[in-house]
Amino acid sequence: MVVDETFHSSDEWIVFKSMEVRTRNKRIQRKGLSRILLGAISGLVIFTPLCVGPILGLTSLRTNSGIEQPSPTLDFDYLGKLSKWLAERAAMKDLAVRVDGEIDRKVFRESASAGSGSPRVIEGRADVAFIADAFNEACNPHIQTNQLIERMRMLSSVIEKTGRKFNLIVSPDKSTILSDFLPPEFELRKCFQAYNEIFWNSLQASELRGFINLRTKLLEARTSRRELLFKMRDTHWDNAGGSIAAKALINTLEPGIWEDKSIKFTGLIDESGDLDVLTGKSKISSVPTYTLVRPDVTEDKSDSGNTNGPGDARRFRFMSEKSSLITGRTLIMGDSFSEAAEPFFLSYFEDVTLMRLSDFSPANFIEQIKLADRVIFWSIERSFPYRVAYDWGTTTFIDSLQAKLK
Amino acid sequence: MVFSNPSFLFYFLPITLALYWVIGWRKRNFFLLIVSLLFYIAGGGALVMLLVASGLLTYSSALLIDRTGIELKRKLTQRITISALLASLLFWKYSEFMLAQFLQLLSSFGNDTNLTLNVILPIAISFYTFQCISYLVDVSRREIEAEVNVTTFLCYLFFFPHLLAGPVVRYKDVAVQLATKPTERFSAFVTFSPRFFLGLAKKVLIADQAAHLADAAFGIAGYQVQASDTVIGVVAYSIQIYFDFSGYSDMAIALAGMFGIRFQENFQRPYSATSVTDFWRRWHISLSSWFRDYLYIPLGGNRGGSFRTYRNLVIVFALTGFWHGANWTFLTWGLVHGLALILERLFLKDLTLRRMSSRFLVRFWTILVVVFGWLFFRADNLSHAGEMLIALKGGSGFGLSQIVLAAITPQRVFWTSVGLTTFFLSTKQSFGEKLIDGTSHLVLRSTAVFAGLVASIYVLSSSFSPFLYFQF
Repeated sequence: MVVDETFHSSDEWIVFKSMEVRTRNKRIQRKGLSRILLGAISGLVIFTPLCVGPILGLTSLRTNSGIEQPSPTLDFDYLGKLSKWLAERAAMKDLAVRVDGEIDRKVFRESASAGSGSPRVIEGRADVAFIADAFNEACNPHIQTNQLIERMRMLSSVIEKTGRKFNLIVSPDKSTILSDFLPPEFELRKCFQAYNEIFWNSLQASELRGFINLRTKLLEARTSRRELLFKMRDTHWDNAGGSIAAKALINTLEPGIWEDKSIKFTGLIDESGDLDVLTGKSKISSVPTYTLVRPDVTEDKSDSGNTNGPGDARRFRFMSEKSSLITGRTLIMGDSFSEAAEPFFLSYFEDVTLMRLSDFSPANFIEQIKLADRVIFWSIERSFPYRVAYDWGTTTFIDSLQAKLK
Repeated sequence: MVFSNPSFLFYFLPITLALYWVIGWRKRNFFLLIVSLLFYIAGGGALVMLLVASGLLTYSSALLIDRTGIELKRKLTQRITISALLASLLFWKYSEFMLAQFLQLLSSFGNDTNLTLNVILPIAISFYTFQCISYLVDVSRREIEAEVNVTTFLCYLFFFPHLLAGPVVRYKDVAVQLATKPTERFSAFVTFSPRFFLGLAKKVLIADQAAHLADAAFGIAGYQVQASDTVIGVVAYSIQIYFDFSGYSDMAIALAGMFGIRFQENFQRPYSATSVTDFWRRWHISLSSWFRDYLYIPLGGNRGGSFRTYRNLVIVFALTGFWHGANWTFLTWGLVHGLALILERLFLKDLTLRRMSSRFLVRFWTILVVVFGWLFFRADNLSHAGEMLIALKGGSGFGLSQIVLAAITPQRVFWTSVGLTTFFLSTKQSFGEKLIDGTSHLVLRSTAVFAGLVASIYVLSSSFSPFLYFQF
């Protein structure tokens, strides 16, 4: 056995070597321990939501996605639906949204947005919040405003040539009506202000047949009623805003039948808005509520609410001996804003079918238009250019519609 | 269902792991086959039948090839089966594109027809088709014996870690592992979980953040795009695609490792490459080696003179481009790389890289080709790509468009900057590989797990999107 020169005896060498081995073993042990610890943390991350789900329950975060728990079936679609539902309702999601929001705010000093894909929330004055999506279009429009108006002219012409009536409603974004609550400086402010003026002035000046200018009505109402008309912590208008939109619609279609006195104030309710939920906060704000009271109008439920024709359409029929109703079959293709105004205009129609613009399908839309006497397109401002550029405003769709309506 | 989906991360994975830890190892392959099929059904629905049909066809053809001694019969069986697999791929992936080109041609002659096939692209078809082909060719070449056990073979083909997005695994690389008892299962989880979290963090924290910048730049209408928009767009997209893809590969390798199967590395710091040729030895290694072994070499490779070599390179890279998607932009991207390789053979073959200036020039050339090549890969169509390239001249200005400026947030700048460091790393072993070969420092492992934890929070919260439904 070779003994190192630094050692006086082989015994010392043996002691030294055994200490070396022991140190190496300790290092390996520490390394092993650290690996196990990290493995345990990894396991916790992966297993915790599954394990706490039965204890804490699935998340109750409001998503409005409409994804219901699927009933077990033996077809191939069940697992896909279950996967989507689990993603929506995963346990501890509300905690994740809050932590995500805190990381955005505290670490990166920016507005909260859930994960990396959701739109951002812009905090305005006096606790009024806005959605950033409303400004994106301004700085990168999917279609030029003059082209957009031209497409609407083509669409209205195609529909009206067949004897049907056409209307277009653009629901103004909160940022258009409550622009005085926008923060003094934020991204896209300059292009938003420039674009917004051009957009609305062009629509007004175009004298597009059937266009209902809700911006003017809402701005007038804000001044006269001294109400916000939009929920502070939500992207949508409140009942007051929805009723003004409904009034503008009914007065355009059938002047004289709208009854202001049928709108009753029913008090304030506390709710959290969609913008708050997005930031992981649970702020509650008070929202005024109104209701429409028309006791002499009754719904004909014999066939109402059923889908009629292709697409996920909802059909309602009303009757009244005393009050006037808008006659004929009306088709309204809208979104969550028109849905928020529904309680205030539905019962003014004799026969109305509702579809969602987000469920755009050329075939379904055309089939429903064929059944209608009056066609109304109702889109929120921020989505309107996109929809015209890629959905029901394309020349492909308009040409197909023209061919099918002959 | 992808790995960065909450239902995979917090339900499918823990349940699968828990069951795997309790079943006997002899049932492992059958168990993995079942969960893999369920994994596919969750994302692909009834199209799993196509997957199973392709698998069974390949399995039976391989057995036939293996058992017959007649060379003609072997070749015929191989060719018929590969033709069937390629025909299936052509139909499902390229028929809409081919029809659109045909109708465009008709339209140029004044014949306007509105026709679509509405073919749904089965997920993963490109990957499993190539795996089937590699298996059949290897059996024909007698490099491996055909697998007799149908469960084992289908487990290899459908194994969920590599099923949706690779790596393209060769049967010969995993055959022994499938037949062998796996190592300690808990130990495998401990070893591979940091890499899984590294991959998740690369995808969610870096790739998804860079994606916002890339999307903003590429979303600008052609006539409005400015020079800096193009630069930001291609750089951001270079980061996005690398971290997305390599992150997914890290997760795939880690997941396979947790179940006792070791895959080959798929990325080796490609942005540290010293030439475009070197880049293709580091980028999507499983795919580039597949094309090399099953197309380039059978075509003659670089034997047969310069013209043949260049011809083969053009063919291989054209097909590599098209493999990625049915669009002329992918073809163009492939051809750009093919051309770059030819130019390197012509002008850089004899260049000595001892001098710093030479190394710098070649590195600059490599980054230029690779980064701007991604422009074609990402653009919607060739005219969009052309507009972005022309914008570099400064016709619409040299500044940044408002939409790109608005997309630049502190968080995105931070994560994209982290991603940018990949251009400056050495060509040594990647972090992912270090994490599983036992040489990684505690700091690296801890960082990977912590980053994965943050990424998991983002995954859980980002699936919450009320506005995707609400505002429409």
